[in-house]
Amino acid sequence: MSRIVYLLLISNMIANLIASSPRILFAKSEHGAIVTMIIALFFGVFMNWALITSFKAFPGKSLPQILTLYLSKWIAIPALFIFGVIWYVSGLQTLITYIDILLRFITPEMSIYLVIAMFIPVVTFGIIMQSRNILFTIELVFILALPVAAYYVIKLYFTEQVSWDQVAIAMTFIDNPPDYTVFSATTYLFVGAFDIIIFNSLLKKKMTFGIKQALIVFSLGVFMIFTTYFIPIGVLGFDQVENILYPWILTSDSIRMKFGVIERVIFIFLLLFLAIAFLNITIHWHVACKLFQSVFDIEKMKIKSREKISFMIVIVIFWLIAIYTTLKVTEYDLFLYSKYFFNSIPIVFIGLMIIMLVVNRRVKS
Amino acid sequence: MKFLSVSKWLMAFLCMSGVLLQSGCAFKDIDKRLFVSSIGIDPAEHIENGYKVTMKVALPFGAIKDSAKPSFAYLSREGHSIGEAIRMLETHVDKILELGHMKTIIVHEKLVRDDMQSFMDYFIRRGDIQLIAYVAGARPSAESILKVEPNTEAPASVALINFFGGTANDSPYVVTTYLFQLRRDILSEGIDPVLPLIETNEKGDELIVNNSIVVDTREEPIVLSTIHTKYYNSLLKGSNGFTYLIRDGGLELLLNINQSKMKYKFVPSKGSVVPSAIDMHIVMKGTIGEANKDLSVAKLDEYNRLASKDVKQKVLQFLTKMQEESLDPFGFGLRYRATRLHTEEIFTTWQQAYPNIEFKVTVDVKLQGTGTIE
Repeated sequence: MSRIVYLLLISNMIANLIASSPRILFAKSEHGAIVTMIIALFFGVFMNWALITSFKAFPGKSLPQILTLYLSKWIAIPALFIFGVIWYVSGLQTLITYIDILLRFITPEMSIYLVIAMFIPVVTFGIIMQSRNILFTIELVFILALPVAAYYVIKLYFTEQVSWDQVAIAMTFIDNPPDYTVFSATTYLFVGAFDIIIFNSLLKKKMTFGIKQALIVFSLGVFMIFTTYFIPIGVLGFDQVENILYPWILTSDSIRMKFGVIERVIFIFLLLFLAIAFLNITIHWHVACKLFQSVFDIEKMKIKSREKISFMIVIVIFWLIAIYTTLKVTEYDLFLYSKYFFNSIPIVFIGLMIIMLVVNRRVKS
Repeated sequence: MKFLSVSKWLMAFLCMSGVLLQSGCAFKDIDKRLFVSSIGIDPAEHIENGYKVTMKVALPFGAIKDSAKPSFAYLSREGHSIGEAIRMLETHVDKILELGHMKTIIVHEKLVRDDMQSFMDYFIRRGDIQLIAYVAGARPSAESILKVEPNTEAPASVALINFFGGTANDSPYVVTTYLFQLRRDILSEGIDPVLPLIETNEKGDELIVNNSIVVDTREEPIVLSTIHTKYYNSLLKGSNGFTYLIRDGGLELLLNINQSKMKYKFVPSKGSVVPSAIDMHIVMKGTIGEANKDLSVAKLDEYNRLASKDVKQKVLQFLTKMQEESLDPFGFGLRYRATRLHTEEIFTTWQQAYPNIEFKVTVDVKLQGTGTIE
């Protein structure tokens, strides 16, 4: 597996740390969250295995290219369109959450229009970059931000502010039956690698997914799930943790670095995670943009500047939807829609795998 | 691909122009802000069920050497709720009140109760108030404590903050409770949070923090004595650097303990789900700091035994006192819940069992030496 795939995976996991998924997990903390997370962990590793294996036969080809080659356009176009919507929404979900967090915690006096006006051009700049440059950006941000982010997260495990009794109480709910929403929300942590449906065109090497890779993904998953779920419980307490809107913001605000550069960790924490989330939005929207373009491109249009126009249309639509929803969506809506979105993820995954299965068969025959 | 480069330039320009919209300092200059250093909350005198909020505002001055003494302004106002009072206080000053640096919340002794969550809510909800702010009880009132300006207070610093957090004052008599911790422990079943209690001397020029309050539902809060505060702090919070005075016959020893560890487990009882006893094991390490007689290094074991016996007695007394008052500052109930699979009635079973639980304490004092002289 190329290192890029790991980076994509990690960026998705980290961006979700602060977004809606912890809240969905906590909402079910007394109704089967633990057992479901364990199931989803294995399912997540399986997903990554299935993805890498199904793309094995097509090094250097992206999903749109593969589908146009081997499938009729009556299947390929709707499928690509649905994937595009899913990827766009996943970026949008992170975007809205982060705009909300920014407004609430960093610049409470700023107008929402201004925040949107700052976010969207930068993200758009990322979208219109070439895929190769996006991969470079990922590496760059990771080199700059990940060590510090990892430092803060690991530091959390050793602070006296975490009450391990509370964590143990959360674990005593292990005998509850599993829950689908928790399953899909946890599964979503693992879908980062799915961005290779576009970036695969740059990954010329043949990828393998053996025991070693499975172990890496598994341990990454264990670490991230444990951090996402148990550390906020340890800091904020198990009883009534579900009443907190942004568990991770309050958690980072509760962490004190006695002799750190800033005693109050939240500001460093937020900025770091913001950088990675930004990256995540850019990646997702880039993938979405490419998918939509391939949908409109698929029949060679006769117009001269076809690429230009499809680009333009896609970006304008992205902007309009993003601005409209950011202004409209309330906290409750965000929670609700994120839930619907997460719930659709396993289904979309199965759809993608069926398509890849068919394609792989056609290649062989 | 010409178009792409054009649009890239355009986007780059747009990103840059975002900077033009910014106006620094979140739109308000630093000299247009007043920094609140601590907030005191008392019961209101004129409004029923209301609160009286007092703010200690740090006044700006040009350079630290210009000012011999720290200067503060005090704002007070009564209101039906904290938020309302603070909103009204904002109309009493010409600048904006900045709460982002507020580090201490002082609550009148009478208000330190389980239902304090209702007014603490305001502090949790406000995004700019730190959750690592310190919370403390006040005697006789929050306002009078805030208004104490100790002689040891340096310009550009607040004495109240230095007491807590272990950066300046590190005494084992001072309990530190953070806002997030208070919220967590109040909301959790099976632990009673402990707050430090700030008092002042008769002249009103000293702050004294060596007692603490256990937060509970009752009207008159239980105040832990100085000794109990020390035991709480050293056993549970692992604080060190404290001294123990033990007497045996004519011998008086003062121990300097620099390490203490406490472990406990439940002893299961036959035929019942609830444990019959708590088996507590305490290890302390230290040296002898003072003695009224000549000591011998060879007799360290003897001193260990004496010390262990003494500490054991005091810890037992503390634990049984808490049990009699049905308070649980150690969080035994929490541990009980944490070590069993969850059932609906798990906590009520514990509550019924707690008053009858027996404490078995073993103390292991390991003295490293007699200090630099024998």
